[in-house]
Amino acid sequence: MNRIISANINGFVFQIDELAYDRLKQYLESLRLRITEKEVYDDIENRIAELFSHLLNTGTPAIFLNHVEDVIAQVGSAEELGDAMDSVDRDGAAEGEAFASGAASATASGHAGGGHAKRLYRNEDDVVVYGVCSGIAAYFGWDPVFVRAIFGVLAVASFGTVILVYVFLMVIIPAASTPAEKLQMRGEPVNFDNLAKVVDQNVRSAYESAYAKAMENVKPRAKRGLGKTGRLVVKVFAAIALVALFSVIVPGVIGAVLSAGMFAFVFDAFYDYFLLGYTYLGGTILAICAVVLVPLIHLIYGLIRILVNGKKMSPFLRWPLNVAFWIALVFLTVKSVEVGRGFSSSASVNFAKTCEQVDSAKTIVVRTETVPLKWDGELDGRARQELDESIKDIDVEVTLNGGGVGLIRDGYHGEHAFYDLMVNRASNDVSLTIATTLEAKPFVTVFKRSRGNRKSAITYAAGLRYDVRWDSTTLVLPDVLILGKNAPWRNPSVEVVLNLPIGYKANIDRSCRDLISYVNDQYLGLDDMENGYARVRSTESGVEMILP
Amino acid sequence: MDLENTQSQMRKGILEYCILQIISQGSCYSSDILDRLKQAKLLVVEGTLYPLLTRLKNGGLLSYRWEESKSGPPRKYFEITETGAAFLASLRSTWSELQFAVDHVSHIAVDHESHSKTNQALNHTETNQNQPNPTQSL
Repeated sequence: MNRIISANINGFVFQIDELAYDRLKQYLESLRLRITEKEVYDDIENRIAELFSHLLNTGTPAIFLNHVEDVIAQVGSAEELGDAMDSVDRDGAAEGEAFASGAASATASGHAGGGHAKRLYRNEDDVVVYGVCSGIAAYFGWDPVFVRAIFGVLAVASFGTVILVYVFLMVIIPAASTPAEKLQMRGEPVNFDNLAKVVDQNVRSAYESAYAKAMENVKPRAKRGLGKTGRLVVKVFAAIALVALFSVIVPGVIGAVLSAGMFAFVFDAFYDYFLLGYTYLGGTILAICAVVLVPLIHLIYGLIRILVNGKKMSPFLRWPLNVAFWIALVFLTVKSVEVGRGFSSSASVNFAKTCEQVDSAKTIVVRTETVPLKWDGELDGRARQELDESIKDIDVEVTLNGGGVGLIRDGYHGEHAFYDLMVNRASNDVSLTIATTLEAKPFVTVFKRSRGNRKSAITYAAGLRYDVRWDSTTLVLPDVLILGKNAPWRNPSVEVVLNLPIGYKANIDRSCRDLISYVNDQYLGLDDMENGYARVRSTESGVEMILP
Repeated sequence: MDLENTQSQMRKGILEYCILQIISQGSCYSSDILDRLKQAKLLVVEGTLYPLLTRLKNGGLLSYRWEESKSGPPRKYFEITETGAAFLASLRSTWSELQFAVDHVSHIAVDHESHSKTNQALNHTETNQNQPNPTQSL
């Protein structure tokens, strides 16, 4: 189905079929190129209008393709008329008459046999983005793919700065829209034979794209509705938006890329800590890039399109971008759901250790020891070796009942930065509670807890490494717990319960201040101390603080 | 040698003369001129006429006026100017001379050679407008 559209030749309005219109337009354009004298062109146009009016007066409802072809045959193709013009041009020149001087016209300059200056144009017949690359290729006579590849490499190597250059070139380099310009773009002489070739190609492609054009015709109509002022306002806004985008987002993206490079090990640790899937790290980064950049590219492209009335994005660019976007989105969604479900269940694993040696004073001391962490400024060579060893050796069986493996070091009360914890796959979510027991000897119970999905929660909990030990009557607690091998951070925690038989006392060292603050709602005041102990005792009514 | 090309070159040469002839018989617009030229098979495609008309007009041999048309676009009516009339008069005498020359040459050709196709075609094209065909009159 084709539409019938209204057309106008020198004020004569008539109905014409779309395909016929395209053909006629191509024909008139080819004539215009060939006929340097405007008056002659107008006369021929008028003649065509007259022939149409005759057809319409004899009962034809509208002008169709066959009518146009008939008229072209009757009036003469550009080539036939061109020859006529040629002879007239030459005669005129010989007789010194003011006819068809045409100095300004491309056609005439071609005939004069003068140098056919090469000019840089955008090649709109071979477009991926805006035809800048293929225009440059045409200028130098290279393969456009080669130029595009270089551009792509430069774009990556320059962190996108070259894209700005592209936009700049796109704005300042005009598109080769007329056949003469297309020839100049390739540096071919603008003479009739070459022009005829280009026009012929145009006619052919016009037929092929007749359908596409019909579809596109719908859009300009909406644009027309805006009016000139409206379009101008839209363009101004688009320009402002573009400038804003480039002044904010481009430096932002460049900064992000740079810092991503600099802090790759942070992401690495982060990924290992929370997601545990090192192999997915690169994929995740790519996916995030795609999800952020693809809409951004579409936005920028759309704005530029508004500014320069550009074409739609070439499908060779649009499809890969969109496919990448959706794949990335699906990937991120799946990964997010997976992580989210990793918190759905919780599990607890506990073990107990009894204090075997109790003196007559019936007093227990509780203190913490700083687990040496990598990146810890205080860490010496041996401690690091121990840590590496300990992380390597972490094993569920050993953790459940095993004693210390040299992991715990005497030292100060450590306040670990989050980053240290992350890199060491550790957590400082450790708490201490003191309770009364009816048993004869003091003992400590350690509850290791972790979230996970239904299957993994218990494994994660059991895998948590937290080794308490009795040093004579002193209970030594690590200040951090360490995640099990191949276990991600799923909100792990350790609760240490010190069970004191009635009559026992406990001196709680200041180093425990991050683990315990209150006993039976009584504030121990560890944070306020510079050294020394907070003292508690176990009675029949529970544990109470011994006030100094 | 391309026969068609030669023919069209010959036609072109006398086209201006013929156009002036037609217009000198009374003011007319391009469609009239086209009809007469096509009848006489002097014109293959219509578009060829317009550069010539413009050229003659620019040379001051023709003048024109616009007239509205009830059935279509406005029409350009051409008239011959005084200069044009004088120009035409001298063209006529040139044409007579040419005609004579061509006839003369053709007679010699016919005397000495058999009827070549080229000769036939040339003579036919040149002369069928106003003159009896000299080869046929032999």
